[in-house]
Amino acid sequence: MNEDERSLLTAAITSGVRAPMDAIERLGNNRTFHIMAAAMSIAIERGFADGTTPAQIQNYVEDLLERFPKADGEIKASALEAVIRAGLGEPELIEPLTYDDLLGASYLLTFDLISQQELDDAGREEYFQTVIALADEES
Amino acid sequence: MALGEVVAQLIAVRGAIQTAIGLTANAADEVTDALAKAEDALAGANHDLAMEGLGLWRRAQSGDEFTVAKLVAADEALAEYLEILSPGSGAGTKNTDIAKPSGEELVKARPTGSRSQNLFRTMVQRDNDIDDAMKDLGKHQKFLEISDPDWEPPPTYTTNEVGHRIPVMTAPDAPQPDAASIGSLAVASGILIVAGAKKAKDITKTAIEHWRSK
Amino acid sequence: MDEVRDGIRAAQDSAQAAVAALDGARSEIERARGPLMVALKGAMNPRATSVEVDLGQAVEGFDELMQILRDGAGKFDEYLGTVT
Repeated sequence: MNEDERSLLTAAITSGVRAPMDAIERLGNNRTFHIMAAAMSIAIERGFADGTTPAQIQNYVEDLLERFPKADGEIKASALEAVIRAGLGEPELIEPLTYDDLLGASYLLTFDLISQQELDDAGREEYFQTVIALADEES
Repeated sequence: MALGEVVAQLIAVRGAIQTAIGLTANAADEVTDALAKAEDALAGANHDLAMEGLGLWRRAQSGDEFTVAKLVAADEALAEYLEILSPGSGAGTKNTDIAKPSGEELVKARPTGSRSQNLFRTMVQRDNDIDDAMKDLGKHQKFLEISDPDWEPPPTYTTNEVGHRIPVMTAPDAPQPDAASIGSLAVASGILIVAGAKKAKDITKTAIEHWRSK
Repeated sequence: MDEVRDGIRAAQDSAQAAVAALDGARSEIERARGPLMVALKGAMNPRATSVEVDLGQAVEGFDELMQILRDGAGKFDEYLGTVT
């Protein structure tokens, strides 16, 4: 994991840190998207147990958009629900989503689900390493 | 509701889905027919309105394929579920008579791997080009700001040492204007801010159009 | 010019037939969705619940398709208005 990847992931899970635009520029859209897709995929796996029902996911998304009012209107509730359900075994649900939908969902869900875990330094490092290993599958 | 009743209801739903698939396939044929007739009638003509009409109908043709694929996916999912509810009864037999259109690729086989691997692979193995879809790096900034509950927009104006209200350069690490160059910087920064706002509006508009064109 | 107009009119008839077929398909799915929701209520199986989503998207697809076909026919009407 290089420093740019580390600063992207740190910004994604830390409150009050501005987006590391220089790092994102150096990484490029492809690599940034892969890292954020991996970060969200693991966050969803950790945040939602098998068998979570669509109704529970709907409640979570409703609550999420209330807690992040800036996201309401920018990121569609249906896109967030589709991504979470895709992570629980319905991958086809993300077919109609745009990259904007996926990217918006990846930042919001990663921040929310991982910050709820209150990881210590070792836990954060382990999460970063797991994310990068998954992102490396496609890069 | 008793299990038998649930199974009976779901079988009826499958019947409705299959009827709808038939009707949608008929619609696809009619659209193809309409396009062919219109193209014949317009042979040689290159009028904007006529071309727009043809473009819309071509879009309808691919949308029709997508809708049939959705219905086929729903039917197959119901078949699988019925097989669980009522194994061996035949209720979950997949309908092999359904002619899958070219939207078939949308009905993909379930991947194997961990949940996070499956989601990640589904997200990144799309046909589109990511760089093309997200031309502007500012999207990352926007989405990170949305997911930061403590983020406050930077001020667009500040007050200089002689008490004048002046625009702030919003680019990261940009030098702040000093008193000596207030005039030229105020004008330049004002233009930058207006241009930035217009660009953000354009990006949003493009994103909405992109979504609508899906 | 009559040939063009007749050809476009025939094409519009086919598009209208397509709209009617889509409307029929949409009604079938809308009618089936009520019992489906009742029958699937509380179903934990992801395949079962994806049916609701697929059918919802199909209904949205029908609405959009019918509108696109009508918009296309409208463009041809405008075109005929300018050339005849």
